Amino acid sequence: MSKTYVVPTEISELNRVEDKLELLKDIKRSFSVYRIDCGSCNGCEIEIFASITPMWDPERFGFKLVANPRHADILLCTGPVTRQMYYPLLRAYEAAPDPKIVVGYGACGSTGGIFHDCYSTWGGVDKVIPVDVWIPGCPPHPASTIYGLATAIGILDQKLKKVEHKDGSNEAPVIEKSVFGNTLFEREVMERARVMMGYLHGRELHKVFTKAVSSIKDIYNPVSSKKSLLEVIKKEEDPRFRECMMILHNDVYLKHLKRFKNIDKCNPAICFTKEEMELAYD
Amino acid sequence: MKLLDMTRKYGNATYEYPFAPYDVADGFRGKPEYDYDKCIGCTACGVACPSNAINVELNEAKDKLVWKFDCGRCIYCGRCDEVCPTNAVMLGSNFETAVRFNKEDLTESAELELECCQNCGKKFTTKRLIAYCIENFKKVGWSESVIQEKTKYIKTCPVCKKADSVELVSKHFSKGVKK
Amino acid sequence: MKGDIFINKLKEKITIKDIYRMPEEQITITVDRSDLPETVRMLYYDMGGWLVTMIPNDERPLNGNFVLYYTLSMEGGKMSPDDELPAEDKCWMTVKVYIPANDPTYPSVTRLVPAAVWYEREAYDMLGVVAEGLPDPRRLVVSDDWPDGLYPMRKDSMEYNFRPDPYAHEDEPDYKFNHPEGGGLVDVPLGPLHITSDEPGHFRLYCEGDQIIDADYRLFYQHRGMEKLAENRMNYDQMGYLAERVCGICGYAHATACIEAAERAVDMEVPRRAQALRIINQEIERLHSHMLNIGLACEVTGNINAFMHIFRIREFSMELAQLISGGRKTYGNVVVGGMRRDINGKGIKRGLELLETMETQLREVWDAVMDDESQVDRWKGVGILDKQVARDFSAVGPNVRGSGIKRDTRYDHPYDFHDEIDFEVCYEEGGDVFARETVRYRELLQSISIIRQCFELMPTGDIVAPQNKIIVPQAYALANNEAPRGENIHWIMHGGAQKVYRWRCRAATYNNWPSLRFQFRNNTIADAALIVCSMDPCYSCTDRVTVVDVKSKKSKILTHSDLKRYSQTLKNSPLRGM
Repeated sequence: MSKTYVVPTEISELNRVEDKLELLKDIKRSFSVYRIDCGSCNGCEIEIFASITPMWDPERFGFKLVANPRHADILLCTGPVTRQMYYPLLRAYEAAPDPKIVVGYGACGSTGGIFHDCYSTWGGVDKVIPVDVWIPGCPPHPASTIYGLATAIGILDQKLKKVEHKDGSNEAPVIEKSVFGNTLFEREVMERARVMMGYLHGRELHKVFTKAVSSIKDIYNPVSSKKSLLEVIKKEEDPRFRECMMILHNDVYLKHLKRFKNIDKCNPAICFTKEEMELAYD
Repeated sequence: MKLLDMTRKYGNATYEYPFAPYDVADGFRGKPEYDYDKCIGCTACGVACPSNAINVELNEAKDKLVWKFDCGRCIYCGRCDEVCPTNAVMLGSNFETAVRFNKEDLTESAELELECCQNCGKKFTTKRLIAYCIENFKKVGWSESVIQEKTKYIKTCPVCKKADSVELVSKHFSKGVKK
Repeated sequence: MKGDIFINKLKEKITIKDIYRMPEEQITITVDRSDLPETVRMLYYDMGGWLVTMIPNDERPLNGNFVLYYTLSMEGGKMSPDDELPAEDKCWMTVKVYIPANDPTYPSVTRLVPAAVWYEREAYDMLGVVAEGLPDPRRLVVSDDWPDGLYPMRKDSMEYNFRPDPYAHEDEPDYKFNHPEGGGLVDVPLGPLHITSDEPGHFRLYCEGDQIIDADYRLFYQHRGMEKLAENRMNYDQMGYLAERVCGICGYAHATACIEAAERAVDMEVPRRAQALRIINQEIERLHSHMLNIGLACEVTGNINAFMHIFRIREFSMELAQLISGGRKTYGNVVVGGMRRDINGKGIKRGLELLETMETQLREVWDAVMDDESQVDRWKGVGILDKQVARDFSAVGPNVRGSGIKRDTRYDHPYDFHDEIDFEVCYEEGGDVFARETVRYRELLQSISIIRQCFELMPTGDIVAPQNKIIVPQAYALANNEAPRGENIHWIMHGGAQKVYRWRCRAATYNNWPSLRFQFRNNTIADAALIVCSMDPCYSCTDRVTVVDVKSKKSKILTHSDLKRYSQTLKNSPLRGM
């Protein structure tokens, strides 16, 4: 670790926690914030900007951006502190009146984020100057920003607490029983669903489809399976889900069924035809 | 003047938050929520995490596997959610993540017990992961004898496996030479 | 084959040692070091090329040389409507030169092609290859306290996380600014910390009275070392997330360009649905970025009301972004081979509603802004970017289109789903702030129409390509992408072990900065903020300003609010009495 800034005693003596709490008590209704961009990607700046517009209106709690660190109660620092911004940051820090509250904003400001070990950064604001409040996010949602600043001045209570899990059981998590008696079927449904709809919607699709399949009475009868699946599909509101469920039936269900039975995968009585798929969008 | 007309037309646009709860959109990428009971310690999330917010490593005494998450470094990409085989990590909708004075509050950690290799006795992977594999073998529909054999295989650490297969290959090789 | 006309013309004067095509429309020719400036000049001025990027690469572990790749987009000079190449001739030409490791010098291209200036300065900073005869050899990228002789991008120079000690902050090193000749000039430094602006950058404006005579700037306050990081810690699954964080506003465009470069190098085909989704994401980004910029251009000139309205409308684009990517930035969405998130039918329906609202309200607000004569006057005739200057420096984006040049990489080198979409390239004559903002407004409407078309034409099928391509080490390709501020160019050379050998990212604004000083000239200090803003670097830079009158040696410190007030009211110059 390279040697970086050491806070001079005349500043640290005026910045004890009690002093800060005293300051926070005094400024509860009106506080001035000075923004310092220490080499962030601008995502955070834009979100700060968005959160000072009337949509979020933080002036309701007395939040005011100021133009000069000498007027500031709170320094809002974004970015992982690049080498080139190191000096301006220190100038601003020393210029701000004591006691001062420093906020590390965003993933980069809090810990360096994805750049935490790059050669041209110092890996977060708290590696250089003492930080009091951390607002994570990449970038933080304006609501997170409002929450963070309200937490900083003590209007709202902090919700996160350090969590340590210990001494859990050594049992494996529960695995659902497969309809075919082989979980590889469910796994393949998941895989195919993700390729079609991504990890988030794919998970939902997997849930909807396996639920539909498990309600089928005779899983080994493709004709009745198709019929009962069609019932479910008709009830589904979203056309994209309708289409993807048909594809899953054709590609995954029939493929697995083939291991038990000799079937013709292109038989329109058991698979969904192209025309039927197009109907999904009506 | 037209602008003032617009102002009158659209009226107040401010959200109530924080005086009323703010509902995030569906599929919002919030703080990853961790379910300790589901975690099997496979380290997939630790490998995938682009910003190293999740680290999975042995503790100092080397007798437990520790899963560590630093919310401050998280970039909310959802890779952990995507790769987790048991849905132990899933992005939630929590955006109220700021902390004051104590950075430790941003962290979460979990300890998992380790299994010893049946050959050399060294600890190499979590007990839960082994249990999870065996559970999967059963659900795939394998016969008891196959499961027995596979269980033996997964309870061997990679170093011993390597040694075993070298031995196996060289045995066959020497047989071949004899013939 | 594509590019043959250029190669044949070049062959008349220059010996071409080698030709490499991968993919088909990207042609790399290898020439001798001494022929480099002339080759680039011929391609640039004689055949209608635009310099899009230059990649300095340390290939000593591979072939013992440093290698430079000057890449030009062949599309025609575009100084007049018929001065443009037909679509089938448009391609990318890359000039490759080997520079021996024991003699890392090459003749500077900048003397013949001014657009190369930043690239050559950066090549020295990062790799220590010297451009002989480069008019401005000052440091560009690495910080002022970076040790001399340590070149981060050399493979053998250091670990990616090596951090030399900083100076004690009282002895902060200075940067040497180019001061124009003559006395009576006022030296106005702006930055690096400001309130309105985002990006830290330090400007020096040299003024005579209120007139700006010249300007100089020190940027790269945000240099973080991403390219080196990508070569070391990141694999292909993680690259996209790093590329997103090049810039918080056009992050998505960077991620797509980066991933597409990796895909093109191995000729991977992305499913149509993923292509359409990529375009939607990208246009959403354009929506919010352009609204931000128009809003700020109003704010800088004192029209706070319009600014607030535009930001209110901007929230709709944010909602659209949340719909499609789960966050207010369209982050975390693109992977090699396709996309990570799909959009369902419900989402498409909601998206179309949002587009409708946005379009109506945008038209209303623009109408109201145009109705305001004082606002329009404040934008007209300010910060003119001359057509020839734009050509010389290969400017991009709304900046070049505001100077009457029809240059848009979606149109010149169509990619992804653009072949099925109708859109119009918006360009305006005039070159002033007004022209640039009009271009942006028209592009907003175009973006809305593009997203609507994508929603309506949304192909069915998968969103990720089957994983059947093998990464070929040392295969390289570039990818282009029209970000809100202009084209982004990413270049990737594959390495082993799921990592890149070299990733070069060229952001849109990189090509716009060098021409900024010409835009500043002959404007007043009050307009400086507006000019920077209209270029949309990542906005205006006005903060605490020290004014030093060279003649009287008097100095006065202005606060940001003074300057901003002056910029907004044009009354009571704070410089009066000096």
